[in-house]
Amino acid sequence: MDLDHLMMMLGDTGEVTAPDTVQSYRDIWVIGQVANGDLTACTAQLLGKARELASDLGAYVRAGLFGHDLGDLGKQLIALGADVAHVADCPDLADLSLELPLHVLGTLLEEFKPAVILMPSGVIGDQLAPRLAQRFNATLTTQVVALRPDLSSRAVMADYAVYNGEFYESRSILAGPTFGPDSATQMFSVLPGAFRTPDPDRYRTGTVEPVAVDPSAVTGRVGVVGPTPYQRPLVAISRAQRIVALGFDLGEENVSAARALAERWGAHLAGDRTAASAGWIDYNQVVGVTGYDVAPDVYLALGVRGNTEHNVGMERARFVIAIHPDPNASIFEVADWCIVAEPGQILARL
Amino acid sequence: MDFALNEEQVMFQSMFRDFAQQEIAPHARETDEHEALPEGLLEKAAEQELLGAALPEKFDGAELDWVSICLLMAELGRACLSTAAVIASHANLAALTILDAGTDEHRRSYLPSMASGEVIGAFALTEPQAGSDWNAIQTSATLQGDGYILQGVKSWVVNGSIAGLYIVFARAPGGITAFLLPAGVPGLHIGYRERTMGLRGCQIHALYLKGCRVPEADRLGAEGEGLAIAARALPRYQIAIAAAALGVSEAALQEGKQFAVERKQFGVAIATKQAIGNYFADSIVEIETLRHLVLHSAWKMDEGTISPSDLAIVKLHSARVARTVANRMVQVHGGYGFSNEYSVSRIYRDVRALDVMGGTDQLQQATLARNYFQGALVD
Amino acid sequence: MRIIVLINQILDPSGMTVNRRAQQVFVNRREYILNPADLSAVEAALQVRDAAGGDVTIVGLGPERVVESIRQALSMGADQGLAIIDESGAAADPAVRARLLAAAVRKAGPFDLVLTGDRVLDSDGGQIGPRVAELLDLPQLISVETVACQENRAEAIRSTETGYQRVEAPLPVLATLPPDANRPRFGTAQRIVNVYRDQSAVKCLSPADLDPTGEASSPQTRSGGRGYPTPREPGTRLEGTVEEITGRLVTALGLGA
Repeated sequence: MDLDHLMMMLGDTGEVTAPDTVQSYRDIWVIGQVANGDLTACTAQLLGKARELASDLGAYVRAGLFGHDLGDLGKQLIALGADVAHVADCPDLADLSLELPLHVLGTLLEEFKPAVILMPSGVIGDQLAPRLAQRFNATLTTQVVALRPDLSSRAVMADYAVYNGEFYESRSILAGPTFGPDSATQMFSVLPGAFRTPDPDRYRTGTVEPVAVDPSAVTGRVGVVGPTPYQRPLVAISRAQRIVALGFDLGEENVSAARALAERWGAHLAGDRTAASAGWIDYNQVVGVTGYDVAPDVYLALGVRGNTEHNVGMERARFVIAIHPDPNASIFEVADWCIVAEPGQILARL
Repeated sequence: MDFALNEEQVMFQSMFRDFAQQEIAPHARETDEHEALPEGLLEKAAEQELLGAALPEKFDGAELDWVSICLLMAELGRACLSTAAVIASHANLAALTILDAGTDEHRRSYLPSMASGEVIGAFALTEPQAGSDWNAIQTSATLQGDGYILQGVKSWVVNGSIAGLYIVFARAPGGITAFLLPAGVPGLHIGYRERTMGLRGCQIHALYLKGCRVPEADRLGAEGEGLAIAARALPRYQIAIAAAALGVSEAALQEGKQFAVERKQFGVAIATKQAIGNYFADSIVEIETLRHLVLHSAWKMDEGTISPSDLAIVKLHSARVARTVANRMVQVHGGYGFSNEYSVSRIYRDVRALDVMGGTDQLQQATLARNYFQGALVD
Repeated sequence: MRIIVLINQILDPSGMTVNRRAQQVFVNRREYILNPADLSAVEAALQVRDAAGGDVTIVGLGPERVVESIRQALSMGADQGLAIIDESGAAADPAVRARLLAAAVRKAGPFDLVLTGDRVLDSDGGQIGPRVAELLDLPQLISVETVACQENRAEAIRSTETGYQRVEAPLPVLATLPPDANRPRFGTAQRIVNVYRDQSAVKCLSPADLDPTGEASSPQTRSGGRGYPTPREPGTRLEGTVEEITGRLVTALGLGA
């Protein structure tokens, strides 16, 4: 419930006017994302956070979802915390081409004028959000890792990651309160894992409202020609965004599988000194004291034991997944996900 | 007095560093192990116009000043001292000597292809019996018809087996004289390769001259002008070597830093140990003084005011700093420093050459002392 | 083919140490570099020009030192530069930045292709590409590995969960590239000499030249204050059968089925 509205009902302003059918700049919206027929974890996290902000700031939570064959995902949005779920289900929304979703969301925004919009980063947050923000003169913060209500200014402050998450900067809005008729929408595109995933509450009530989609309203300019083979050029591994790192305990027999994984995942191959001595990688692909410092988004270490001279080179990696059979391997001291297993076993099933 | 690099020099430095760190440094180890520069590396350097950096634009060079050349050599030295030595011998010794002493015909026919890396240069002055003492050169050049016949042995020729053009010094009737010998001329044989403890990427060879015929047109300068040509060439090499020494010292310090921060003994990083800290403090002071000395000397080269003593100072000091810093950083690495798996070990072997190449430390000391006492000792 | 590349200049992260425990950023070396993803964009632009002809204009926005980054792109082979010198810091606001850049693109004249990086290391500047595309009403190709132009279409390759995909759009178009899309060439010595010899190669404008009323350059937001991730904790151990673990990995890596 919006505080202004509450005041009005309490008779504080004397005159009670009936609220518009759509209240401008009063709601917190979450734009959900679907992957493999389900809501992504980040969508659930955003709904959880939206609920928190809503109770702090006095607002309703609305969710928007677009795609095809969405089934009862609308209800799930309710269970996770939305008061109203606006669901646009249309075959033309099946692929994530940009123009139709932009139109659909744009129409919704124009109609409902949200105070706050939370979106998962990824295709929606990186491609749609900036265009929407520009179109509706909204503020947008991407790479968000934390959101705080500022109760005195009734606005939302965000921390966003810079330098690949090395540290965060805070952003606040300069204008007046977020909530209220003269506001502008505040948009946030949030990194996965920033917030706790809430438990769904099946008994929560809310309404699911279908959104009419008119595919003929837009003419798409970007077309998908089709899949294509592509070999990424070999760049210096210090610039690589995804790295598959090999270590001696991977085993010679698994090297080709690791290579194939790197190719499929669009990652660069690297490794520690032992992998270079074994001839699996070149010496200019060595990570650590004797080679390069790397700072990828994801560092997947396969059979890398993780001696100091290796670990020092990958400290700036944003997320580290390590697979090694020895639970005491020192790679696990720097890994975010530790998988104690034979890398070969896992590779065979990937 | 202005100690700042200008914007252009800053951009040169950043390009040199990007290139050296991305294209040369990752191969420093294999350069050492395979005892040769990686294939295509000199071509890549040529594409960046690094081989003809000091040459005039009309010979496809970039006509850089000496400060920029020193920035280049420092970055090359930081990445791989072998590569730095190969390029210095080619560009600073060979190419600039042709520019200095060659005829227009020589310059036109050789310099553009040296800038493009098509032709690599080598400087054949030293002989088994004539190291610091150039006057002891025994290789002979006897007049025959409209040319000379060269006979003798040259040693310690850097780029010996990859060069397309040799500048050979020999004793002609009129005194020691320089000659231009393209690779493959009859009678020019590439001899054994020196097995060296460091700078193993440099292909250092002996050169045998057996009745090698050189037309008079390929004589560099006048007969008897050889020693003067060599004496003018040496400063251009010495300043480059000093700059490379600065770069390699910084590389050693960096290796040491990384190790000292990561290596934990008795529960703490060894960088927190005072004994280790002192190694770094001393090294930092020496490297900073060397940086000023190198750039100041380069500036004097540009101004044309550099003296033989200035060069002796920068050459002697740079070799000392590089050797001392590398030695300390090996010690910082403890047992690992003795392992060839660590770059600091290669650096240590490489920098040992700096005390010798471009004139031994003793020669520099002799020059300095002689010039210092000049006129004071009257007997 | 007229190509415009939008670039940003950032503090070199390799001269920086972030100490999460001490909650402090130590700047050991204050050097500014061309944002890595924008460097990819410059290289991609040069490749398109080399293949299809035309010229490449570099547009940079920032304090006066941004000119040096533009010159770096010129030393790689770009044809001319346009710097919008903003010492006020207002352009740290993504909306202001996008409006000024879009105005600069319009000012630079007709164009076929606008390229920029898909992220800016020192800020959440990944928004700039789509925002500029919106302002100029261009189709956008985001985070593509390569761009090629033929006739009136741009073709690009992008990475998706199921492999690489070829996409196309009519010119003019805006595309963004990730920092590891290609191997940017180095400047050459001769070009560096020329860049400094020809002082007119980089034109300088002020935000007021592009936005006389000052309306577009008044920021709505302010960045300030710093936070730090918690010091790296011991990681989570993934338990379960090999199948379960593999399942989580497939999702996490976005490998699809």
